[in-house]
Amino acid sequence: MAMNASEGYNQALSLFSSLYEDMAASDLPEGLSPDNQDIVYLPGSVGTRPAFNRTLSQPTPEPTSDTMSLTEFAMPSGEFLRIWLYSSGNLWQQPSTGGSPTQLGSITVGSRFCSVTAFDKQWFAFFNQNLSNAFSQSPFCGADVPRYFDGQNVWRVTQDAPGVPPTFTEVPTLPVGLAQTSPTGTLSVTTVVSSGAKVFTIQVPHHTLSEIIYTSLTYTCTGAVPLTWLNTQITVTGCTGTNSSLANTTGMVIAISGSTFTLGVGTGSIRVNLTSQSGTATLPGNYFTRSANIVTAYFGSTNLPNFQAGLYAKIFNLNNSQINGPNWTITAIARDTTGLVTVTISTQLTNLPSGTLLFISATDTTDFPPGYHQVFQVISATGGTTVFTISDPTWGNGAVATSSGGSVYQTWNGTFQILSVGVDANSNNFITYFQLGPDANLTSTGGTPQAQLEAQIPPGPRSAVLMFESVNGAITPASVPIQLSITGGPNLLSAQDILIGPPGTAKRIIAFTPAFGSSFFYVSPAVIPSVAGVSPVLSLGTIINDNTTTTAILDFSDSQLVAGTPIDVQGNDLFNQIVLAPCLGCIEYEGRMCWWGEVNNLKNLSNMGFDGGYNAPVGVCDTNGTAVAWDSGDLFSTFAAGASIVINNISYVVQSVADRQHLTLTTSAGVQTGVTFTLYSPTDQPPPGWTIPPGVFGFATLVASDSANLGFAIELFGIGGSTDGIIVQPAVQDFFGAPIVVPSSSYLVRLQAKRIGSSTVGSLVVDLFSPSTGLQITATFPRAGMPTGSLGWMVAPFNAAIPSTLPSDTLFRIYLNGVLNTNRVIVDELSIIDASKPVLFQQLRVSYFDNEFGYDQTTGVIGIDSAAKITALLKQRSYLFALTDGPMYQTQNNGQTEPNGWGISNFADECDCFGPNAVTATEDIAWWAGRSGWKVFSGATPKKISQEIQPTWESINQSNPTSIWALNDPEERITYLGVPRNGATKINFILPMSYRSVDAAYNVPDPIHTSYSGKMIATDLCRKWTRWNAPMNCAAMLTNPDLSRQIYFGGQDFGNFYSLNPAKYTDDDYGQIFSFYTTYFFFNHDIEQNAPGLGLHRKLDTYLSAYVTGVGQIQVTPLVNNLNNPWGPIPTAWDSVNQKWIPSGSPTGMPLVPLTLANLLNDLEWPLNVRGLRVAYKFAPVPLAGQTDAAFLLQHLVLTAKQDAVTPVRGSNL
Amino acid sequence: MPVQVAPYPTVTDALVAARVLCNDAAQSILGDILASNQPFVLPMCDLAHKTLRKMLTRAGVNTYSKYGFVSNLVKVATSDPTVQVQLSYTGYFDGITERASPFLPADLVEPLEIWERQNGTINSWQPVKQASDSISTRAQVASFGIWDWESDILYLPGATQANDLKLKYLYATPRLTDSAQQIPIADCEMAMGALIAKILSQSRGGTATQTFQVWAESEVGLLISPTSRKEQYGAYNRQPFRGTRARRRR
Repeated sequence: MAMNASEGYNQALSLFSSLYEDMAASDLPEGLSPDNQDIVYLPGSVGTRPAFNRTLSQPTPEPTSDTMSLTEFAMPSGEFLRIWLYSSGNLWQQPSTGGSPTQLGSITVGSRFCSVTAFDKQWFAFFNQNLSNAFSQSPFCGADVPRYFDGQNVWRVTQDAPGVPPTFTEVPTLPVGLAQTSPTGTLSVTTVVSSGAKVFTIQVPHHTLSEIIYTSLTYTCTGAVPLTWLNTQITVTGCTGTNSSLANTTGMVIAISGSTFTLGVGTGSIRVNLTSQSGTATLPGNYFTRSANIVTAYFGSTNLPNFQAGLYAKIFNLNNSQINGPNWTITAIARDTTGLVTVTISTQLTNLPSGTLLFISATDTTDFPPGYHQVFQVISATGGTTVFTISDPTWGNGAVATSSGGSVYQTWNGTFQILSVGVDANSNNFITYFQLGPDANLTSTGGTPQAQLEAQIPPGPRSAVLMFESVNGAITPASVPIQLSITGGPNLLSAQDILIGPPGTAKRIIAFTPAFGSSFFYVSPAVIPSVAGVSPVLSLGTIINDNTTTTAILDFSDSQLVAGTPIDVQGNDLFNQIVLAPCLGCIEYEGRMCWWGEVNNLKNLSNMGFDGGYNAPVGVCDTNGTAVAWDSGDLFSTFAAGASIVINNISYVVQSVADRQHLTLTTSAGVQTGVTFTLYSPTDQPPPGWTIPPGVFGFATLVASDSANLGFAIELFGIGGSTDGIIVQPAVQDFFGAPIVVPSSSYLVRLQAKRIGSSTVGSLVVDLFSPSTGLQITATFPRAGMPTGSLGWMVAPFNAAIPSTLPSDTLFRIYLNGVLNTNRVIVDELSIIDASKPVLFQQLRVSYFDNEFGYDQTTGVIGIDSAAKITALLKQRSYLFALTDGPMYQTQNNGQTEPNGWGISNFADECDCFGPNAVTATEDIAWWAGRSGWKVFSGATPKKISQEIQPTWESINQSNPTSIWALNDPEERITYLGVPRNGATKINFILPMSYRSVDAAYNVPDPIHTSYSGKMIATDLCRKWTRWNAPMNCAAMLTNPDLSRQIYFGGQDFGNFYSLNPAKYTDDDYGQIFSFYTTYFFFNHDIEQNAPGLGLHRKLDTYLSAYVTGVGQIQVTPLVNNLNNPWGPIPTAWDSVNQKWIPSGSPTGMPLVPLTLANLLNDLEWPLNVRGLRVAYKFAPVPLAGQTDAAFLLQHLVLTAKQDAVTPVRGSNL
Repeated sequence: MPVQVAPYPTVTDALVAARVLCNDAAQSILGDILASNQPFVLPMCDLAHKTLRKMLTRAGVNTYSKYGFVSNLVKVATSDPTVQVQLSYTGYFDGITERASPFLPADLVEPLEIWERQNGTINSWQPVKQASDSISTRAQVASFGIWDWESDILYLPGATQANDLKLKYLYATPRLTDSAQQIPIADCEMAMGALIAKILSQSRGGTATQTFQVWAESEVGLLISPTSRKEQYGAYNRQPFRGTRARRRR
């Protein structure tokens, strides 16, 4: 029977649409596919998917690791960083523009992250079902400490409050005597000439005016001018002759040359060319000088203890007499009809500002009673006189009056805020402060001038707390408060023992209550510059702007304090702020960070992460080269090697520590004796907030944690005892009286630990112990089960529930039991978890507004009233939606309250989500995957759009749901879903859904719709599913160097991640792509009924032609009647032994046809001899021998068939 | 080493031919509809074989005759000359008594020629004449002399001695019950195949039935050609009307 296209029915197929499994394959309408894989859809065609193209050059940082998670950080600089997490737990980054990958840190092995870019940082919630199984029956919870990346380092999102507040003392201040400046002296001036001439020209009509201005005066003296006069104020007097008043002046020596000096006259430039003046130049030695309202007070060589800008100093004469300036003679004083008094004095003042307070003592005491008055306006200051006005309607009788005689002076004493402290070129210590007044020097005060610091802080009781602030502005919870009793006045408040924060700490903040107050505030340092005759204001603040200072003088007024930042108000309550436990996921919403799946640990134990700072040893030492010997104060820390030590204000690095009194530096400190030191090492001390009970042995010390940016850990030393290295803290009530451990409850202990030392004997014990009753409830961590390399998470339950009555002296203790000498255990991230509810499944933890580091125990909580567990969050049009393993909830920022005041309501039922990464939201549309299917959501009803692949969906292994990921590629308009199928525990399939032919992302029509006549029809304008065999653990949209965006997939086993490259036809690392596309089963019943010679029963397919291009060869396989019945002829051979024809070998497919990427001149053709009721055609590319490249693109096909003339029915079921 | 077989095809050979003709070997020579495990395949082969046999017989092909022997037909038990003895498939009637043996060969369809001789001797076989109409009454002698075939019973006049019979007869071919079974017609695969295909197609409503019918007849025609040619070369003596049928001496 010749197989050709004659006498047959021909049908063309150019619609290659979605995989559709949820309908019997035989019933699928024309254009749908009952089976396909590793293909992509284009309108009118279908072909092999692009190959996975490795991103990292070989060898990758970890060539055998899985890439567990992948994300992109769009840095504020405009740079894009690719960040990925290996199965080893190592976090890496690489700029999108290339370069060597850099390791950012380490997380627990096998973890994944949920990440989001917000607040110019990249945030990470880490989850790991293997870890969380140890304490939670549900996988929807976090496993490791939440972290963020700031572009430089990875930090914890939150950390412990300082373990203890500073201690405070009051430092009495003593008066410090002022001293006249040095040098002093007198020189005879023989001549004075104008200098610094500048010619000014002015264009006026018809001619040009020019004038010479002299900016300085040069004096010639009888002898050499001391160079020490340079930059000092001197006064020239005694000059006579024309314009001598111009020569008799006070000014700054701006140049010295031999026997001449030059005074700058500045704005008082003169137009007269002085010549041949003579007189005396005097460098008097000033107590005070004032220039432009800034007074400089001089102290000679006297040290100024505690004097610093921002503090206030009282200026006074020792005998309490007033410090008055020179008397200026009143030549005229008159009050006009408006009451304005005009005063003329016989002295030409420089820079007399309005507002200057002057004591005016006129001869006419009737009209002008003596008293202090402020200058209202300066009329003139020229020609040896100064005219100014006083506007004071209360002065005198107000009558119009004219008089003369009397004097005016200014009082210099008072209390002023120090603007600066310094030493001038002549070694005069000085302070500056603001006082309105003319430029002047005061060489005498009429007494012994003094300056004494004066505290602004009002007397009375108050409280203080300490917080750490990180380099990124993260402020920790407040320490427990300490009460102070302030006397103020001449006593300065000094903070002592200010804890040094963990790595990443940039500042320490001390907050106070006002005197007799209860609310806490802190004050940021600030400078309000001087304007319009008003003094500048320096706010010293209560922030220590470093992480090294251990003592500080603090001074503020209560008005300053309460104008500062409150820390115990809604929205910033550092007393209610918590350390965020491991969380499942994170998202940014309306200026807040939101987390969920948080481990339910006790929040009000102290310093459980051991990051509550440390006390830096401070003392006195001697140095001799690199050798340092302790003299007094705190002993050296034993494990301080590598730490920095500041000796006499110079920083060095400790190379080794011989004992607690001797250490060696890496560089020489010279020979010094009795110099101060501060050693920045946390070792040799228990963590603040914990105490060591008296009479115990062993040793506990802070040490650096595995990862520096995770702060400190605690190291316990065993000596074979039963409570070695014990540290304790209260377990019943916290500082504020709130309960900690709740009676009748059960708890688990979770911590990170590792053992050091070869012995596996003994254990780490965490217990609750009452000294009075002997109650002891223990959780035991055997050393034998501890890792030895890196810290590893461990969980152990307490061996009994908490009794209904808990003794008030119950302590929370941690120690070693039976651990042999020289063996140690390092512990970190200690937490006590409620065993009955180990995870806050129904709760969102939301940060304060615009404070991504602050999470409130009460107001930062949004809870759902359900047993469902929150698995993911998404935001859409200002709403925040919580997806669970059941219903879906909706909440919204109400703009008025903290999150606990926001309403949350059930939005829809049965629209569950697999996990934090199983949701993808772009274009204001969200998609997510859950047990019930793949949902699309635009704010209305969630819509399931995966029914057509329901059999595939049912093959998803849901035992590790948080590993499932989803991502939308808005550019290619494909959503991707990574799932483990068919019992696999790792992702082994990607389920892409193309919606590129759909008008809107939300409007993704079903691949089948019903015609007006009720027939099922498939079109190209629909969603299209397929399956990719791809072991990809994660995916992310990443930015390419050319700023285009593209999807990348994190793969297994090769430590790489991959883009899709349509120009490649073999997957990097994973090899051949086994793609295929199966058409629908020809022919649909309509065609069968209407086509001549086709019939409804068996047909004989006789010819196939198709436009197929690609690489390799194309294998066409007819699938007869069902998908599992490939038409594979078996060769026939003659059995010469048994003398008969027999089948020989395996079924053979149709002949392979070579493919080309070029345009085809003719369609490819296949003669057929295929009989069946219905036949689908499977197109699969096959590589050439010895190659792996195989890809196809099918655009069109035509099938010829006719009714089976011999057996239109088989007549049998065999 | 090839086994020694007769020139007869097996049922499988016929089926292979049928599969090829029906395009049922497109995937495998073992067939689909005509696969050996189909319940109708062997019966279909059997039917086709019967049809083929009939067609061949109708065309005069003597492939289906053979010789047989029946011993010890005892003398007639009565002297009544009108009594005839009867040899049937179930026994022998001696005129008085129905005996369990001897009996006719089970595969005998119709006797063609019969010879006799006295039982227990090595005498030559003497022809027994077929009655042209019926056996007339005659005196009982030692031999039968004449036979008649009525109602699947061989009638003979009573003989006064025990005799043996040699028969040439049309035999019933064995049913095709196994695919390895040989079909006792040389080179009949195509004919069988066409007949099987015809039956198959006809039973399934195929439009190719007539094609296969024509094909089968053509193949049968090819099968009988050698016989025709052979008989054209043989010597024949025309018998007078009502005489004995033309036959060769054996």
